Amino acid sequence: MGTPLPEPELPPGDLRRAAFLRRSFLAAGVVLPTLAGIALLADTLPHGGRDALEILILFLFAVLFAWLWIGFWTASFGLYALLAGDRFRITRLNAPPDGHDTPLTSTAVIMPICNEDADEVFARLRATYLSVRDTGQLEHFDFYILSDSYSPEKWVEEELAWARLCREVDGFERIHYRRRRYRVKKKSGNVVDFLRRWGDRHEYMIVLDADSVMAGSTLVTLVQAMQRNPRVGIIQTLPYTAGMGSLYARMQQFANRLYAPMFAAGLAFWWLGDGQYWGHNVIIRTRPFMTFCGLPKLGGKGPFAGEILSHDFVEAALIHRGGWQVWVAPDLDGSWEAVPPTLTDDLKRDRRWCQGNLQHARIMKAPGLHGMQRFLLFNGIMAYVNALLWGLLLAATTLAALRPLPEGAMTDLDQALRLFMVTLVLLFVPKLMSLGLALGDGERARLFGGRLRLSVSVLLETLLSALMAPVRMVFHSRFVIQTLMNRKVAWGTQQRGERDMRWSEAARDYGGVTALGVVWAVVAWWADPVFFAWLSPVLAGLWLAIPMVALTSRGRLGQAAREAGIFLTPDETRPGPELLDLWSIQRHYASIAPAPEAGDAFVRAAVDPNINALHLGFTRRRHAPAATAAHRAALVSKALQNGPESLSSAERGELLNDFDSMQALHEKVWALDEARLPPGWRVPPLHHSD
Amino acid sequence: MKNSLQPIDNAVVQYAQACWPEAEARVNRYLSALGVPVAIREELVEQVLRQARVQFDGSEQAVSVAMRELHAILNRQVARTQGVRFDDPLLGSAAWRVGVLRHTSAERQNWQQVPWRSLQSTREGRHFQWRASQAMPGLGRNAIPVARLTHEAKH
Repeated sequence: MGTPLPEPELPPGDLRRAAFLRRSFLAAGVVLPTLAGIALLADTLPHGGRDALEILILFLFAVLFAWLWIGFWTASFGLYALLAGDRFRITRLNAPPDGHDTPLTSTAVIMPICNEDADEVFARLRATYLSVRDTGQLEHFDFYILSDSYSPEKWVEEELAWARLCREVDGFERIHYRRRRYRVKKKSGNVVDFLRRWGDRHEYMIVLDADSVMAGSTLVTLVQAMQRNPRVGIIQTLPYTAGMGSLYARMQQFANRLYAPMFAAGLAFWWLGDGQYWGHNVIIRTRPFMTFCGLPKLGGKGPFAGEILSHDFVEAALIHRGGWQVWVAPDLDGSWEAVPPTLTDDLKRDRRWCQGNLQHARIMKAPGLHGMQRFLLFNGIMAYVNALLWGLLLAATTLAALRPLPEGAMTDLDQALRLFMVTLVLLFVPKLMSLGLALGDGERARLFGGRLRLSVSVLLETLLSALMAPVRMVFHSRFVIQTLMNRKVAWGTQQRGERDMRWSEAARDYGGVTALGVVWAVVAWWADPVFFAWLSPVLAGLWLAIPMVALTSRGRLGQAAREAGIFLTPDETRPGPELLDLWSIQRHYASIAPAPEAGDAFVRAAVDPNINALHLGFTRRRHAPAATAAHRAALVSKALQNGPESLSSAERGELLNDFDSMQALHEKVWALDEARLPPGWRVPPLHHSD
Repeated sequence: MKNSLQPIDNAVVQYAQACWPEAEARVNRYLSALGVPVAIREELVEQVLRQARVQFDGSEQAVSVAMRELHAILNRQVARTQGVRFDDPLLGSAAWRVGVLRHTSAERQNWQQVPWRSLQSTREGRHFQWRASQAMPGLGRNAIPVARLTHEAKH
C-alpha cells in the first residue's frame, strides 16, 4: 500500500449545507407534530394531562410519537429520493464525466466466521468469488476466511471446504483461510487481528458476514466509489434476503425487498456522509480504520462494561471522529444476507443486539464525537428501549382506565380516534408508499408476483407483523430490563438453518406471553369494555403468539405461500447469476456430504490420508514440554484403545492443534491390525472405480 | 532400520505369510484413499511389499512394516520430484499428499501434475506448511492503537 494518509478534510460546503437543511427539516417535522400530538392527547385525557399518571402517559407518548415521525419522514425522504433522485449518491459522486472506468486497487474481501456450516459458508463465498471473476477484475481482490471456530470438527470441515473451493475455482493464492487459536474480542477482534497482520497489503476491505453473498459488479462499484472519494471511510450496501424457506423468513424477505429500498434511500438522504454501518456487506478504507477504530475494553463493572459487543456503530462513530465519512449506498443491488428462520431465532439475535446497543450509552459520551453520531447511537438504543416505553405506555393507560373518572370529566373519544388515525397513518403509510411505488411500475410489480399477489402479500405481511409487534414488545422489554439488571446475555452462534418449531417448544417459549394477554384482557374488560376494544389489537397478538410462532416457522407453509405467489421477491422471480450459482452449489454440496460411516470430521482428519495431510499443513509444529507431550501421547493411546468417541471435545481440540499427535494418530490407525481397532476408527474401503 | 541380512526363523516366516495379504490390502486401501489411479497403485503396492518383506523381522506386524515402507516411498517421491528432503518419512509423506491435493484438479488427483519445487519446507527436514501465500500470505505487523472512548477505557 504505502500511500500516505490523505489529510482528513471537512465535507465540501454544499454537502454540509444539504445536511443542515435536510436534518433541520427532519427535526422540525418531528418536533412540531409531536408537540401538537401531546397537546391533543392532553386534551383527550380526563385530567387534562395534569396529574402524575397522565404526565407519565404524555411523556411516553411523546417519545414514541417522535420516533414514529422519524420513521415516517425517513420513508418520505426515501420516496422523494427514489422518484426525484438524490444528487448526493455516493456511487455517483465525483464519477468521471468521460465515462471511463475508475481504476481499482488491492482489496481484501474478508469473511469472519465462527462455528458455521462450512459448506454453506464456502458456497456463499464461491458465488461471490465467481461473480468477481466474471467482472474480469479478480486480480484486485483477495479473499480471506477468518475463522474463530472453536468446535474441533468445524475446523476440519472449514479446512476441507477451503481446499475444495480452491481446487474447484483454481483459487489457491487468492482465497485464504486462517483460524485464530485465541479468540480475543470475538468478531471485531478477529477483524482487527486480520488488519494487524495483513491490513497493510490492502487499501480497502469488504466485510462479509457468514451468510453474505455479493455480486462482483457491486464490489467493483464500491471500490471505484472509494477511489473517487478519498474522504470516504465506509460505504454500506443494503443487503437483501433471498432463498429463505420458512413462512416467517419469507415474510421478512419480502418486507426487506419491498420496503427496505425506500427506507434506506431515506436514511442515505438525511445521513449523507455522517451515517452508520451495519457490520457486513460494506467496504472500509483499511488505513483509517486501523488508525481510529481499535476498540478498547470498557472499564468498570455492570452490564455496560467489558468488551464492546455491537462494534459496527462504534467503529462508524470512531472513523467519523477521525474525519472520514460514512455513507449508505441504497442504490446498489447485488448484496444479500440471510434472516433468522423463526421469530424465536430473530428474538435471540435481538437479545444480543439489545445488550450491544444499550452499551452504547457509554460510548455516546466519548470525547470528540459528532453530534449526528451521538444521535445515531442514541437512536440504536431507542430501537429497543422504545419497546419498553410502549409497554409502559400501555400499562399506564390501563391504570388510567381503572381509575374512576373525576366528576364532570370525560374522555374525548373523537379526539382520541383522530390521534389513533394519525398513529395508524405513521405506521402504515410507509408500507403503502412502497406498495404504490411497486404498483406504479409494471415490471417491478411483476417481479413481486404481479399487482394482485403483491397487494395480497403486503396485506398479509402487515397483518402478521402487526400481530407479532406486541410479542416483540414483551420480549424486547424483557431484554432491556435483563440487561439493565446485569443478567447474563449469551452470545451463542446464530441459528441460520431452517427448522420447524415444535408446538411444545412454542408453548414453552410463548406461554407466558399468552397468559399475560389473557390477564390483561380481563383487567381491561373490567376497567372499561371500550378500553378493551382499543387494546384488542395488542391483546390479539399476545393471545395468538403460540400458533403464530409455530406456524410461521413451517417450511411447508413457506413453500405453499411461494407456490401461491405470496411473498415472492425479484430474487426469486428473476434471480441473478450469483444466486443461481449459490443454490446450485448448495444442492451439489448436500449431495456429496460424506457418508455417516466415514466418521465425523475429527475421525476423517485422523484417518483419511488427504484430509490428514491437509490438516497437518495448517498445524504448526511446536516443541511441547515433556509433560504436555506425554499427556498428548496418552490421549492418542486412549483414542486408539477406546475409540474416538472416548475423547471429549476439548481433548479432540488439543490433538487437532498438535501436529505430532495428529501425525501419530494417522500412522497408528493405518498400521494397526483392523481387528484391534475400536469400531469408531474405520479405514476407508478400497475404491475400485478409479 | 533392520538389517536385511539378519536370519529369520521359520515361525516368523509362517506368521508373515499369513499376514502379507492383509498388509497388501491395507497399502492398497491407503493408496486408494489417497486417490492414486489403479494402474499406478498396483505398481506401487508391489514395490512397497517387496521392500517391506526385506525389512520384516517378525518383531512387528507386517501391516506396520508395509505402511512404514509406503510412507518412506512417498517421502522419496517428494525428494525426487520436489527437491525437498525430510528426515521424518511421515512428514515427507504428508508433504507429498498435500502437494497432490494442492496441485491437482478437483476431479482427479494426478501425481504427474505436481510441479517441480511446488512444495516448500519451512524448516527443512522437520516440518512443512502451506507455501507462503497459499493458505495465508506472509505476515506483517501493524500497530492498531486503541481508541479513547471514555475516561476509564483500558488499553
